Amino acid sequence: MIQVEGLTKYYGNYKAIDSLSFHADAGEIVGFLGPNGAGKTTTMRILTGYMPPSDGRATIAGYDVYENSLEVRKRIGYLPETVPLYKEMSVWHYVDYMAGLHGMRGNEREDRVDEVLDKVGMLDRANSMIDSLSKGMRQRVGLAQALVHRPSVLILDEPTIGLDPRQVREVRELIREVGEERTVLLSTHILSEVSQLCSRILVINKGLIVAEDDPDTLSARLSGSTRFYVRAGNVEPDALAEAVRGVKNVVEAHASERGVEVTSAPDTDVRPQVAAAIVKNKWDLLELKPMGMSMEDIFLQLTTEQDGEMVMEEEEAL
Amino acid sequence: MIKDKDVRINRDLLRWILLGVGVVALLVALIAAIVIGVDPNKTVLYIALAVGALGIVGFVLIDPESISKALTGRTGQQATISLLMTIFTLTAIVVLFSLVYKLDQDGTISPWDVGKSGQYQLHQQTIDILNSLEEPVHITGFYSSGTSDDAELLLKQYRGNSNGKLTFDIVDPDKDPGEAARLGATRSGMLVFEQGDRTAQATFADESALTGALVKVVLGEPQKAYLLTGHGERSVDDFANQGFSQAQSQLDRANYSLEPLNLIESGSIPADAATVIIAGPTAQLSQPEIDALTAYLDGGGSVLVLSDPGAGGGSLGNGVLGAAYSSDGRLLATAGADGTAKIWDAQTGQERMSLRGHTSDVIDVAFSPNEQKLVTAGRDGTVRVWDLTNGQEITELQGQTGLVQRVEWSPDGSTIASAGQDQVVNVWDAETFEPMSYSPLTTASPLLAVAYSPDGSLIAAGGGRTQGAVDGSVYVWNVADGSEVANRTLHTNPVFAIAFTPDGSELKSAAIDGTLGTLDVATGDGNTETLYPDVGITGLGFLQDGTQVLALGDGSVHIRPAGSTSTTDDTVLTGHTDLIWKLVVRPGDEEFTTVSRDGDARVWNIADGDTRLRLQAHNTGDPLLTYLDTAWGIKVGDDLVVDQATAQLFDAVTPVIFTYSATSPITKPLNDAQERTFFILARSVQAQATPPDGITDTALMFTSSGAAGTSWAETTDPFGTNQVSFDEQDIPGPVSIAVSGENAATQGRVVVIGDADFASNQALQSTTYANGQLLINTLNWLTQNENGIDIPPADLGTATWDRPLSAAPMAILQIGATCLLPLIFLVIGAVVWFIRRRRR
Amino acid sequence: MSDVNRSLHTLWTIFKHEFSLYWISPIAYLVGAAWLFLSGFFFSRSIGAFNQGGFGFGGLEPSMSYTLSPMAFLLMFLAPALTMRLVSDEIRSGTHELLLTAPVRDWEVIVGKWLAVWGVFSVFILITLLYPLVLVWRGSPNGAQIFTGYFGYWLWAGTILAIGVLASAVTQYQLIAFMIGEGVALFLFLADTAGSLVNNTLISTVLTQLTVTQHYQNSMLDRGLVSAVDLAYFIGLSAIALFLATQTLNMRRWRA
Repeated sequence: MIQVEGLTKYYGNYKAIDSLSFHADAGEIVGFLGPNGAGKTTTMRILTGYMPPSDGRATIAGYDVYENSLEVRKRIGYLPETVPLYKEMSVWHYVDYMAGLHGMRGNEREDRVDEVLDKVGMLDRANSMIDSLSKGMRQRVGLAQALVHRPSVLILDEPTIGLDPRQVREVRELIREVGEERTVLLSTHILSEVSQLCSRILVINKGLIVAEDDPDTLSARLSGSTRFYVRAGNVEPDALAEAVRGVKNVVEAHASERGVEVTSAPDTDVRPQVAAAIVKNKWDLLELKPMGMSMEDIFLQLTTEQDGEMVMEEEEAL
Repeated sequence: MIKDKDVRINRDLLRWILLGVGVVALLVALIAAIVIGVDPNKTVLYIALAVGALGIVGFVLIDPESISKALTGRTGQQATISLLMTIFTLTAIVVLFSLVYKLDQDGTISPWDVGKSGQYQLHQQTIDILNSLEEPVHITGFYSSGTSDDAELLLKQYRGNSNGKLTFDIVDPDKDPGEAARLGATRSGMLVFEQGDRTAQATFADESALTGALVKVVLGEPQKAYLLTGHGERSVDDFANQGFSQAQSQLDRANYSLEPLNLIESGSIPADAATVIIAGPTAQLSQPEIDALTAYLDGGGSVLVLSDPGAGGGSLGNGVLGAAYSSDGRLLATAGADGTAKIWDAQTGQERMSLRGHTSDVIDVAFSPNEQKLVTAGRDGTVRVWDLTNGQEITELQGQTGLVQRVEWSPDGSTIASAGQDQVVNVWDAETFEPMSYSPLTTASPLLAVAYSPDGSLIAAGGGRTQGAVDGSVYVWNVADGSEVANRTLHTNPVFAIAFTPDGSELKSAAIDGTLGTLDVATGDGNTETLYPDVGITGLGFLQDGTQVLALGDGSVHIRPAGSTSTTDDTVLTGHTDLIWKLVVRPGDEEFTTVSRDGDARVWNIADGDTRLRLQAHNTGDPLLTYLDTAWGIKVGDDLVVDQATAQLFDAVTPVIFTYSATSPITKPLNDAQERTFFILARSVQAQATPPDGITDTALMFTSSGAAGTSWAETTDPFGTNQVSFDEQDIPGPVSIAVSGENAATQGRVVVIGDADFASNQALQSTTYANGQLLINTLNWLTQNENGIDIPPADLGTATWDRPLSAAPMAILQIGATCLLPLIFLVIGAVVWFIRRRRR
Repeated sequence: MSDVNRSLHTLWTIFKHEFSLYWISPIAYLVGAAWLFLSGFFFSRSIGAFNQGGFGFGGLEPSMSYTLSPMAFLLMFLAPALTMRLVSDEIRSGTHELLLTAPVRDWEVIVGKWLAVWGVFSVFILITLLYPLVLVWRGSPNGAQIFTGYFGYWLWAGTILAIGVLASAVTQYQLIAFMIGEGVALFLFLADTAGSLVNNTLISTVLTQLTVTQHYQNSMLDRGLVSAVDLAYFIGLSAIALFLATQTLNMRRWRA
């Protein structure tokens, strides 16, 4: 449904996203996980046709988001991070207006507005002024306008931000429900959110996708597994990798130019065993070096409930 | 890292500043080039261009990378596409607009006339004429900037229908005075048509005026307007203030050619006359001339009559100005303001002969001793000798240069003398009619009287200065050789009349101040006695026994016995109502004749003091004015128009007119454009309430309206008394001073205007008044039926305000419009606001 | 549905939305009240003059020009007050993100907003149609003149509002938008004065043709004529302004 290849965007000289490539299939709920400033909003804005990419291309439902922006926009529902609303309008008229902008007409539109408001649980407040609503309610109204025209793709930017736990639960439930029939791309900096909702997670940082995994794998990588390099003399890297793989609790080992990258099972530290294995094979242990910041480290930076500015260090791409 | 960024920022700033400066410099150069004009020597231009180039180059050079990045790449491409699209769309819109503009200018598309007023549509007649044009016609419209839109709307139509044969342009007479002068455009609002070397003019941009001018210029031959001569009319060869030379050149440009016509000689109006103009005659027309004009008008002709006040006789004219008896006392001659001298049987009072020829008033007459000839002096400045056997003029005596006041024939018949304003006495040989060798005899004062001594050896003159050092003098010369015998300033006021005592020893002089002077001819001594200080003496005559007959300024005659030293013994004869111009005693001493400003010539019997005869023949009325009254219902008033409301512009007797008929084609353009015209000494011209059958009269122009006394036509002689005021006999304003008349059956047209000076050189000089336009409009209307073009003036459907609001509804309206409506609006807004608040 | 159909529907949706937004905010009522006050002032002044037979001289033909002409000038000040929020509000509240990601074309947004504010002004103008009734009640006015006078005024309002929309799209600061709108309008009033200073006849003609007085006061107002050139002027200027506004909006995508 959503295909992105080599998407790049510059703001002046600042590269906001760098050659992103990913996809989301029909029916999938894909999560964009990353801190503020990682490039999530930029990517979504490009997908929704709000701005064009500097390089690369993306298609939704087969239509290029730049060349056929109008066709794309007909098929997507978008809830921006800021949840922009016309404060002077009533809830009902607001959703009705957005429905009209999406080409809905007449009785069908009226009925649908009622329906979608009911779905987000705002029907009883349909006549209230938007500026009298709480944040959570506004979020739900925003969601309503994204849904009202029955889009096949939903793009939600930080849909639960600023909500209290109960509201968060409600919204997540809603997303899960609608996600059953649609393709959803949502972004967040809350780990638990993506693990609950998404079938696939894209980790993005500083404009680059640093990881793409299903929740389980990601959890595994998160929950304390170490990764390190090992280099040995007298042995080819592949042979070394093979030998390392035989070590108990090594989840994964493969050769790379910096040596063999070793991933261990969660909560295990296999370094001693690997060192022992190397020695046993009469190979020279040249280097055993941690791989820099682990996934865990990354996600330690991501606060679970609050926004915050974090200082980032350089991270190498996988 | 930080340093790098700083440098980067500075560089960025610098290059944008350079670009900005460069662009501004280029703009300056562009504007200068357009507004001032590209002048290779202008250093400013060069500097601006250089700065512009440097700026742009600098912008590029400082950071070439960012420029190439901006131009290539997606953003660059998009920007370029966007820019191109913008340029294309803007250009397309501008081109479309220009196209529409051009089509409109060509007349191909014309505005939708919502009200169907038709003022911007052309009648079929005009379109036909335009279609049939063969030679190109060019119209130059003279309009100050911004005022030409109405005209252009119409002119575009003309152009559009002409298959390219008709072109026009608009010239601002202030910006291009050369062109204005070349085509004779005296003011803004005129249009000049040219075809080949012919021109015609339209004074207003409506269809009827424009097509009229078009037809004229296409016709080719200028239309002939005949100017009547022989009655003192204005002349096109006269370049002085009162002349009509300017009128001729203006009419010339309007494609009229003015030619003089002596109707007495020709007997009828020429067949090629487009119109006839009678421009301010001072003498009356003869009946045959009137008949010729009538025949012409009945045949569809047109006449313009310009009639000055005081002309054509009537009590405002000076009536009878002079008189003389033949030496045998059987004949009496009178000199009239109607331009004739009449000969009467002194006994019966029957008119024997009427001598015509003077083109203005005849002021004095004198018989030759043998009653065969008569000499007359006229206001036209001529002294003429007539043959009384056949009533024909014999000759005109040459030599006077000013107004001749009195003329006398010597008792022996050998010489004729005249005296006048030019301060000389002219003496001619009565046989040869040549001036005597010593003539003229010069004096120091304007002369009002001349007399021969009873034996004919001496000639005396009297007069005086009326300005500056006012005095009254008498002069005596020998007739034989012109040597001066006496020269005395006896009076302190001008001498009005002189007479020798019957024995010739003394010369009596009567002055305006009522003093009687006596000059001893032999010694040259003289004295004066004050007799009638309040009234003044205007006429003097002697009976053989020395009885003095004096005419006084109040119109009474006093007979003083000889040797009387006081006035208490006077016999007073009354009858005249105004001052007496001259008094002559009939040979035989039984009667005398007085002629007065009241218009009468009275013959008095001395014995019983009664008026035996009253001769009013010079007051029969002007045949022309009578004809206009009876045949056309146009009454020319015997009055003088006074307008106090416009007095500050010129004076009270030079009315400025801005009230016109809004329907007459002559004045409609003036009315619509709110033009003003002025008239120097005008008389009323009124349309009768019920004109004769088949005649339609339209009053064209009116003096100011207002309270009684704002403007009126003064009927009691204003030339005499100094003050003018509105009283019952006068015609109250607003006074009509011009009327046009049309005879539906014969198609004849007349226009009568109560002044000739409005078209004089002096008046036409002014560019702020529309006198010239009035003249042209009048002629155009008069000759219109000649062209067979009849396009009615457009009816603009002017809006009217029929029922003004009184104070109370007015106040309601004001409050309603300015307060109520806005308030209601605000209230609605407040209500909406409240409702929404409660809804939350 | 077909493209044309869709565009019309979008225009109508946006128009309805913006139009109602105006009527629930105070600005429309304030501007409307000011406009009615000024119109009323000039109108009653002209009625006073008709009563007296003139503004101190000569006859005066009763018509609406003495009211509409000064109002056409004052439009310059009133119109930007209504348009200055049109696009800048969207930007400041972030709702333009919704508009730009909805399946609506940029020009539809611009034109829809323009039609809405023109509609608001049309309401004001309709209210002042009460004035000619006074003329009819007390005199016999020239109906054609009144019609073309109002028609031209309405068109001029549309043009000025289009320029205001452009100004609003160019900047998010309302005050600057206001001033830009003023500046352009002033130019449109005074261009022919500049034209009379220039020697070049082409430039002079262009400047004169750019001036609104040429196409309104001199043509429709006084004479009861509707000329294609004048229509082209108003339509053309509006088209240019709206086109540029669309381009500006489009550029925001690139600048974001």
